[in-house]
Amino acid sequence: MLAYISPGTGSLFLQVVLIGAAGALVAIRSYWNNLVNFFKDLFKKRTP
Amino acid sequence: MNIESPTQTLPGSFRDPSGFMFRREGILYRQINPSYEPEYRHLMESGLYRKLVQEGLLISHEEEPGQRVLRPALIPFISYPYEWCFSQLKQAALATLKIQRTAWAFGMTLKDAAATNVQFLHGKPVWIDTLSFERVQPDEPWVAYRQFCEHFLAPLALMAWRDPRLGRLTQSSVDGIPLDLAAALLPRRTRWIPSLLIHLHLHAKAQQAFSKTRPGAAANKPVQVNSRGRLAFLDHLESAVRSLRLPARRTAWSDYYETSGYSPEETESKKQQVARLLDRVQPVPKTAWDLGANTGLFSRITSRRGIFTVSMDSDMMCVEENFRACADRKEQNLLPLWIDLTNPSPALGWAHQERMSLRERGPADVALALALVHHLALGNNVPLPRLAESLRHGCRWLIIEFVPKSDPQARRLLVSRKDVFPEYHLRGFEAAFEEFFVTRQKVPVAGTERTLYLLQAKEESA
Repeated sequence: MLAYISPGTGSLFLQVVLIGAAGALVAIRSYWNNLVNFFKDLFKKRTP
Repeated sequence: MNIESPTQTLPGSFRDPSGFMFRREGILYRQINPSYEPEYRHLMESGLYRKLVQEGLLISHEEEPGQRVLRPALIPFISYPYEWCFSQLKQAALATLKIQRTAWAFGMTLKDAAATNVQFLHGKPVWIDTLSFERVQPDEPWVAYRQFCEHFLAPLALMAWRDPRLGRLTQSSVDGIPLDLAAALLPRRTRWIPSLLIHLHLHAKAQQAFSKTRPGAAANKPVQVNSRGRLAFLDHLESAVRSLRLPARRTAWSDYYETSGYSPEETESKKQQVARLLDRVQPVPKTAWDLGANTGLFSRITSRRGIFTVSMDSDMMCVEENFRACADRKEQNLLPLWIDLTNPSPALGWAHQERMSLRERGPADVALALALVHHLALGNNVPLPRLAESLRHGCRWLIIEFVPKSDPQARRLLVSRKDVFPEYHLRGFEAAFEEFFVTRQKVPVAGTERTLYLLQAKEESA
């Protein structure tokens, strides 16, 4: 990545770590929501 | 600014390889260099420009046919981050993040996040550098993250958690507050606030840890990140900015109107007197400076007539109150600024040419100097002839109030010091100002010993 201002190596490193963590959290939340929805659907199907 | 040559490159825009600003016949233009043209085309054709302009986040422009030259809409008064109150800087920070989020949605990014790229137009922050956008892949991090933290988050956190006056640090550190300095100045308890821990304290440590990295080792390698994580990261940065608030407190000046000893009737009568003097200013003024404006009570006399008014005060909390009122009422013609007239903003940056001094940004068509003279003359020892000369540089017309030593407010200034001002009296005031101004009207302020003057600046002799 070449920019006309220096992104700063430390800043770039921190940002990549933070985005990685945030991405993981987003993925976990999405997985969790899917799981919850799966059981909700299951529960709904059983009730007449 | 003085315009001597027909085409004059503005000295403040030399850093950016994408283009530069110049002035021709008094009109401001932006030249696009050939290397930037593909980026500019994407900005215009992707719909990003239209979206940002519609939302009032980016300055609009017109293209000069076939020349790679833009003619941007004019900002009535260029101001700098060190002249903004806390809420102005916070609004500018939030606008920058919103622009970045929108840019990503259109496959572009802000390649810099300098606070000086934001100006206030119609009371709201607007990005003025049309050439700050470049195309990016959805998996690239934000190149200006460091700059955003140094220009916005660090000064905001220092103002909120240490002292609002630390906003002035952006004047000595024109390229942003170094994060190690911000981390050292912030109270230790801010390490327990996750957003400040991450974006300031850990950020400073990360910079320090990587400061000995070999040139070109990491920064030049392509780095890929998760695109959804990228947005969550920006959300986190935004919540860090949103959570910062000024502690509630009053200052010596912020309750001035309640404690100044004027009755509401007297204040109203003075407003009417000022308005009548303003009626006599010819031609009808387009710009006004209210000097020592406090929370801007009298600034509204000019701004509500459609005169663009810069409302200056040296007390940041007054400016804060003034700006919040502007924002609440959506006032478009008023710009409150934190400016100390005893030490006004200097010319700064490379060769003193990147930031204009206050004087370079004048003169205003009309200036108000109400309840000000005694503070500068008695409080700051400025001799009246020097004061008159300085005001002559700042305006074409002047509505000024003389406050004699017998006035309760002037007496308060002299109560704890020796009176070394034998020339400070009505005749001395008139003699000093007659050197530089012609008196057009003189009226006593009802219910006081004060006098209001309408003065017209004399033509400067060559």
